[in-house]
Amino acid sequence: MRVDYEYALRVLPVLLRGAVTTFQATIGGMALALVLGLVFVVLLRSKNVLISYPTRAVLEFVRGTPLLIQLFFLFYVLPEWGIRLEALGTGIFALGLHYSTYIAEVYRAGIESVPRGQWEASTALSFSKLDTWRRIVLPQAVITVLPMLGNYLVAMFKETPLLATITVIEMLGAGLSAAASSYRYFEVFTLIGLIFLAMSLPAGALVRKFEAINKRYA
Amino acid sequence: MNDHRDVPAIRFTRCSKAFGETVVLDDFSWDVPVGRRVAILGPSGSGKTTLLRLVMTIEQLDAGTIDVFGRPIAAGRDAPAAERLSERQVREVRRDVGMVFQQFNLFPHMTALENVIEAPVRVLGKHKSEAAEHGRQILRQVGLQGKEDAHPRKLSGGQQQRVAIARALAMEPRIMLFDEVTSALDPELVGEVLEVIRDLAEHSSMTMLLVTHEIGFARDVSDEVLFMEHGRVVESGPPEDVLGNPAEERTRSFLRAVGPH
Repeated sequence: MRVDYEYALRVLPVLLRGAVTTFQATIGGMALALVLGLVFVVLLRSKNVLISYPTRAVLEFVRGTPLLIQLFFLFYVLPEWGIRLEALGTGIFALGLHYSTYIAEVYRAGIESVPRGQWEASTALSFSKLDTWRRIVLPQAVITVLPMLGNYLVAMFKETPLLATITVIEMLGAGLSAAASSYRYFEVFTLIGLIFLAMSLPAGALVRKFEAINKRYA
Repeated sequence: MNDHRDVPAIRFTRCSKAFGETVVLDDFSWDVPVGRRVAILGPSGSGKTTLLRLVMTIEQLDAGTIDVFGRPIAAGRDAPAAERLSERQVREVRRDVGMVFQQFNLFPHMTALENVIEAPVRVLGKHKSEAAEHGRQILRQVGLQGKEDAHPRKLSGGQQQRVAIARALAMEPRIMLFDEVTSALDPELVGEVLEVIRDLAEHSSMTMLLVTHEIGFARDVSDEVLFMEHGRVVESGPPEDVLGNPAEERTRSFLRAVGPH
């Protein structure tokens, strides 16, 4: 087999434009997952079972069904109900929702890792509930779980090609349409793989950095 | 202070508390006069620590009430709705009370100074620079000048506990609760912490409750000793009586057991 380097160079900018979308989807999805995960964990920890049980059910449901099906549902079914999102927005929403259910569990573990004495000291100093969470518990919980959050960031990043199935022209989408006319699948998919690798390596380094920070506080 | 002399710093009225089957406080009533230094002694499980934690509202009373300077801070679960306290009310009264814990419970993600000024800034609404100036002064007072920017993990146990004392003092409480503050320390670090508390007892008018196993320290610092067992007071009185010439056999055998002092 002959590798067409010239074609590879020509298709690279197209793929990199796709990579920008991949990047946007990852960052957007992660930001949403971090916020939504926090909302879920607060609901999950509610003393009111009318809040905590349904939340638990929603989390199990979202976690127990494939992301691809969720994408299709949001993209094809929601418009029938009059809710119309553009493809990338739908993709970001699906990624964020899906991963928020995992991240809620990560937060929960982090919160439970904060010693009881921290809560007691906060009570003794008369901190408000909000300040206790914001200033004392969450900073410690988040430091503990940073490496886990980093791993989910990388995992989500690697799942973004699913968005190609709902017409988002991210890296895979861009590559598929380029290869459809050139038939140079080898060059296209090798390049996509390399770009993914080039982007996950720094993220992996970031995770290890988080782990180091973590150790310093332990 | 504009309290009437006859309003106690802390008043326990018929307080009861159990953890499951274990009764740790049994129909306990007691007044702590303003400015009194009370050492609370007793075998483990006698309810001493719980007593402090109830005042600090870390534990919830089963029955009875606790007042601080005449204002309710805690009421039993069985209290009628009218006597239930709002979170805001409790926070207001609680500002008069500071607590130092056996395990320090410093905030590990903050420096010594940040630990000390966090509550004055967040809770009392002090300006950060003002709180920092006061905080430095208090850290100096407990012998920690130069350690302001150190994180707790860089400090020895004795230093950590002194930061914890400074943190409580920064709220300028009128009552201080010390819960076995030297029990988690290596023996050679106990002295520096006791020294700080001794100094505090000498140079302030704060009301203090000290749960301790350091009999000698209790004798030096306190003007009342309360000996507890099974959630009840066995005997109480001036340290020279309770420690020097205990009336109750239970007290005598406890003092023998904790050794020479």
